[in-house]
Amino acid sequence: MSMNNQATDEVTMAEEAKAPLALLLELTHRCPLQCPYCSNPLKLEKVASELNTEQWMQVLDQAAEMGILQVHFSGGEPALRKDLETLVAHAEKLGLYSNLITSAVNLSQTRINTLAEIGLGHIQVSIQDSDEKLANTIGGHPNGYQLKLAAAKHIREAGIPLTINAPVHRLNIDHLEASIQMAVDMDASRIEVAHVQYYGWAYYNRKYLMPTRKQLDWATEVIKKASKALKGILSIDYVVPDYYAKIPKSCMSGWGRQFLNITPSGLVLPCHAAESITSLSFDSVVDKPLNEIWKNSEAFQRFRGTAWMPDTCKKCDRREIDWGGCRCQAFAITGDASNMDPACQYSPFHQELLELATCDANSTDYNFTYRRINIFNEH
Amino acid sequence: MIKSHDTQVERSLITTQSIVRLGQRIRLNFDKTRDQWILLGPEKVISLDPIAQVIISRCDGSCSIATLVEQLSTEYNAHSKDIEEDVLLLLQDLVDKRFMQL
Repeated sequence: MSMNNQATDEVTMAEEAKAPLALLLELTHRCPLQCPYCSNPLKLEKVASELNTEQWMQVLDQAAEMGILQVHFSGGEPALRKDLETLVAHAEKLGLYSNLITSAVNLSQTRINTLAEIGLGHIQVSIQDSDEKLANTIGGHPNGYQLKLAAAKHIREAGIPLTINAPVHRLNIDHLEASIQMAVDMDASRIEVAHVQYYGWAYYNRKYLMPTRKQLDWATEVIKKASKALKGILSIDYVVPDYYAKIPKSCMSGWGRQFLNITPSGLVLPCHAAESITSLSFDSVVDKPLNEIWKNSEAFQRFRGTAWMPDTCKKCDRREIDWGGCRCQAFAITGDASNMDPACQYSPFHQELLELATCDANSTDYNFTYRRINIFNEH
Repeated sequence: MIKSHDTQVERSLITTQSIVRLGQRIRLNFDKTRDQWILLGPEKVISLDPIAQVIISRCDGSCSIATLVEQLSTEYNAHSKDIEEDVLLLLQDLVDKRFMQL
């Protein structure tokens, strides 16, 4: 054993960037809905800072060149961009599989048919609840529920496969069975039942959203039964709430391993919530090529692979399964993004996380803050 | 251009008589970057080994699974019973995932 061994080990462990699989474009932060658990940052980007059509097309060119296979058009509400069709057409021309993640409330039948003709691969429509009144209250839109039902019908009539995104939390989780049935009735082939993840707006509104342990256990049983009963009819993807977990989630399948996210102004992030880690800075596609940012930028390199991990993670058999869990959560709860994810049972902060959840879940206050532009921006 | 509204109300179970094709807007592509065949669908990329690629590429809606098994057994000089088992297993899984359809 020589003195150099440790350095050699570090080199072996630091993972070289492989080509990413998927890219998510937040075309805009504008949105007709105001869901209090929105995954966008509290400080929303304004319309004046959005990349233009030409710039997004160049991003798509670079993405295809890098070997990216799937592009998610998201937001905010991507359909508020008038150039959505142009961008989807460009992605399709480049051979990228395109997916639209939308609230669907302003997606007209004409636009859906155009997107179908262009070759859009798939659409994901969010639902706020299966109960119309509660859905509209959560989304903060008086007619959102009916507009979504109409859009889903047009999407299926146009022959585009449909996934329903169903975020669940304390206010709507008891309606889970009806929400799954709603996805079947909307002729979706897939539903993502995702417990709200506590970053951004959801972190801010956590005490209104956190489910009780009892609700969670019931929901998990519902999912188990529905997955079996609906095999071959509706596939169900289930994202668990990690405040009650023992093992952390494999966040983004590992930092800088498969996925990148671009904000409306062009900042390139390893995950949509990464800006919450205020100790990191991010490069923009306005200044640098996407591939260079992916491979060499400080933000992507910082937590890529296993070399950055605390000792407990480095020695753990799951280090290349969960990749140390979630950096944003480590930062939010412990103040240091390089700490263990507190969702992990071996984290010194694990008990604290569970206590936060238990305390929030017992709150009887329903006065959540709607996601609105300007609440957290400087004026 | 509006296509029919074909709501799926029960699981499709395949038999040797089934004619299977790619699911709606699912793509069978060669991924140059990773040097492999893939199926591209919502939120998923399925990597295919060479045998799976051959099976899926021939599921173009033109022939039954029985015919396909017969062809493969001649070409690869293998027992058709073994091939049939593998083909049914692969295709039922992909049909369940909605990556293929009847």
